[in-house]
Amino acid sequence: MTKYIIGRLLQSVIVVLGAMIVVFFVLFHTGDPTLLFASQNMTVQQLAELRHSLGFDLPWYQQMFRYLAHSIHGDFGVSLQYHQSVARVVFERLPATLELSLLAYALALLVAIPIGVIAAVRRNSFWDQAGMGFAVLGQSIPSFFLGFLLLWIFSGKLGWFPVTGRGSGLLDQLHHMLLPAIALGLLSMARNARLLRSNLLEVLGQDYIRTARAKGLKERIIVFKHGVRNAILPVVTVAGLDFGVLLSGSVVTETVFAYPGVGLLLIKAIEQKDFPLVVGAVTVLAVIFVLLNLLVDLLYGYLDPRIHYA
Amino acid sequence: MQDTPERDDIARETRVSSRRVKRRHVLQFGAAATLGSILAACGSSNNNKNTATNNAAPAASASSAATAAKPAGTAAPSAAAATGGGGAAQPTGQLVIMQGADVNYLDPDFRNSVPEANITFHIFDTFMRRNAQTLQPDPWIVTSITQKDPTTFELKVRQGAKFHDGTPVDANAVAFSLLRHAKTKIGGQATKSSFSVQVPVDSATATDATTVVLKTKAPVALDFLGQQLCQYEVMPPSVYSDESDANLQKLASNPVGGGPYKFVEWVKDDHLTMTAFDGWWGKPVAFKTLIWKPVPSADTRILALQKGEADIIVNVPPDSVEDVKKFADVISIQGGRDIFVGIRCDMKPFDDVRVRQALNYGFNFDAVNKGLLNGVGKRMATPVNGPNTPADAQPYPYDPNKAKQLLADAGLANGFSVKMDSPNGRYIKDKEIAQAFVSDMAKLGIKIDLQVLDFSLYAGQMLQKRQPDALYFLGLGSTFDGQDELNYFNPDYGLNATYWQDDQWVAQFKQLLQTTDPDQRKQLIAQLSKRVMDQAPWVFIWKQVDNYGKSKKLDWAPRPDEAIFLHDAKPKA
Repeated sequence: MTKYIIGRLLQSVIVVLGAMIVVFFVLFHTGDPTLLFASQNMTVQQLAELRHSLGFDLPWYQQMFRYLAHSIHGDFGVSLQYHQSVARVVFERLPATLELSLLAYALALLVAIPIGVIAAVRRNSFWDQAGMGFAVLGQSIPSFFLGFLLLWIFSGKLGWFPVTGRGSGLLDQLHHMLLPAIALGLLSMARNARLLRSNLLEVLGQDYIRTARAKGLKERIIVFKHGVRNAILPVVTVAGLDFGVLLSGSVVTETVFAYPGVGLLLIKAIEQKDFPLVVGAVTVLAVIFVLLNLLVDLLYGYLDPRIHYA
Repeated sequence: MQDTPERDDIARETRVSSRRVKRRHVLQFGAAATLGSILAACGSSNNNKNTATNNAAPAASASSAATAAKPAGTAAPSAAAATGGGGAAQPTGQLVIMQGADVNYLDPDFRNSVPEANITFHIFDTFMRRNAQTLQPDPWIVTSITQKDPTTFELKVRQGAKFHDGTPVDANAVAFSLLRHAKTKIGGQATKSSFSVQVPVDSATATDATTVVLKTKAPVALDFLGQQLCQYEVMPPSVYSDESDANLQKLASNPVGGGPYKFVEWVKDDHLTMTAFDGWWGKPVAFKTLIWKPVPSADTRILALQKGEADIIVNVPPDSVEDVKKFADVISIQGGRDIFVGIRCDMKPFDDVRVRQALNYGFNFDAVNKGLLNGVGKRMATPVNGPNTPADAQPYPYDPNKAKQLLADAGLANGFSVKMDSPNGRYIKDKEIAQAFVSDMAKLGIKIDLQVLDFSLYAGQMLQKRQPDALYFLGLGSTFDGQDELNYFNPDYGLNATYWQDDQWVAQFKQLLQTTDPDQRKQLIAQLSKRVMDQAPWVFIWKQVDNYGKSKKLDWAPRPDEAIFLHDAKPKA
């Protein structure tokens, strides 16, 4: 097991490094950030001198190696916009995004599990059709559209929720987070509901379930104690991927709701060509994603005794 | 004793149930850890704020606490708030202003965007203040400027003003601020201030408590200097003379000025709060607290205004104006931002002025105005903004027959193909106006392959390299001094990608830079503007009209220079 963990951690380093290189390369080829530093009235000569003084006229691979050399030592550089360390800027915003993603995922499971279970248990009934209809809808609606729709209905028309921001204090923050969390988590809700339904149908068709019924166990116990506990394992498997989707989806959701997280920070950093901040933010998200997937894989092995990691 | 099958089963059962217990514990622990993380993180949000540390502590912390307890800005300005005037009631209530972007840096010499300036112009006083009606500089901290000779100016400084830290706003502070703005580097970092480019400062010396002598390295016109001084802030030397990294970092998010509002706190990408400065020299403000919120999406801003979470919002899209008017006021105001299609005069066939003029005659702005801009726009008659607009400036009329004739004269009766670039969402209806332009040109036989890009890509690929396609859509704002707007056509200008070369024009422009006599400047500006219009290195579209949304209960007016000043805002009677 220790060897497995170490191996996965080494793989994770390669994955994160790869992400950094790809992001840097793509961003570089959209243009350099000289204009971010320039006043509007600069002459051609002054712009060229500024570009040179900032090192943005170096070949992309030189700039990248220089940056990677520092970041390996934990120095992700200074944000070109904020003139503060990238680590500080990103970690200031990270709790907001993590909270939002966790809440979105929690809501996704809270909604997906009952829908998936009811749809499977009442197969081909109205509830099954309604549940799966909801799932299809949830997978079809883009999150930014849903975000605006939720804002229009629940903030604009009904006035139940605030329009923007994060709020302060636990209850107020939850109040601010609920709509963006629903917008963010709907895709995960829908996917997990469908996954659970199909897995549960398969599990409920197994011999041991038939045996349990024959022994006279209550249906509720059969479904939840034996059925759901086994059917939910694939949902756990994709939890890591799901969370990654939530983290990346936060970019759009945070923009719609003006929610001050890493997603909004990333959008702004890309627009401003704040190279260090973009690479730093993507690196942090990538690290969270790979570590989470590792955790999920280990958890899966723990939950399912048939899985052994060499 | 041998293990029996039953004993094996029992042992296996024990191991399984033991593992099952452990799995339950793991799940319970995982759930508890997740919940604990959420609770801890929720409680940690208040630790990430930058709060004022060097203002009068009781007032600042009381405001901060009040702000924290009221997360969404209250909508209606307080009806009981003072309306200003000598001896009037204390400021009360708060205003919430939503802009499209957050600030990056609160140090005046490291900011270069309008949303940032709108905030720093409340924390700091500017040297002079542009009058919203006449667009001329009014006395502010600098009460008068006298030009002694083409390179020497005497600035008189208002008496009795104080900075937020209690130190006096005097000639020394004005001189210090002028010299700081003139620097190209502060603490080893390149500044973003245009002052060093616009005004070649040689020295700034306080000769007494209320007089500063400013010397420049080259002649500078008095009106030009006055306009520039409307763009820059007066800063306390007691705080900003320390250029160490540590101090600059601190001031980047904890500014200290002398303006009508003091900085309280800044939660990045969420809000920035400021509170009324009771020691300000000017007329007492009506609102105690200003809360600035960055909200990138226009639809979200509109919803916030509707719901009462915002009192002022910027950039209401033209097609939303009528809807917003149902619950709020919308004020449309022509600004100083020139919107145009730049023409690569170094590329055939645009090296021929007839072709460039044909593009201008062939563009139907009235249709665009009616269909896209809510009818509030006017075709650009000159790139020069008021108060320097030539009296006889005329826009190109829509005349497709004349356009076709010009193309025929240039040997292009059958038209030609060309590429064009446009940003998307950077300026009002930029993509849509570009598409309308393409459609108009198609009627002349000019086939345009339009490439629409996000502005970050557009700026990087087009502007930075100064190699856009033959036609490119852009907008440029100015300081209303006449000279700035004409500088857009100067071949040396960093964002001029037209490659228009007109030696006569360049010589005359250089003459303008050296001319200080107001009448001669006016004449030169008129001549330069006319030449530019005739030679048409741009397709002149319009001067952008900005739509501001505001609460019906608020008495406030926006300005042509895109600055938002709230020191004179008050609740409607």
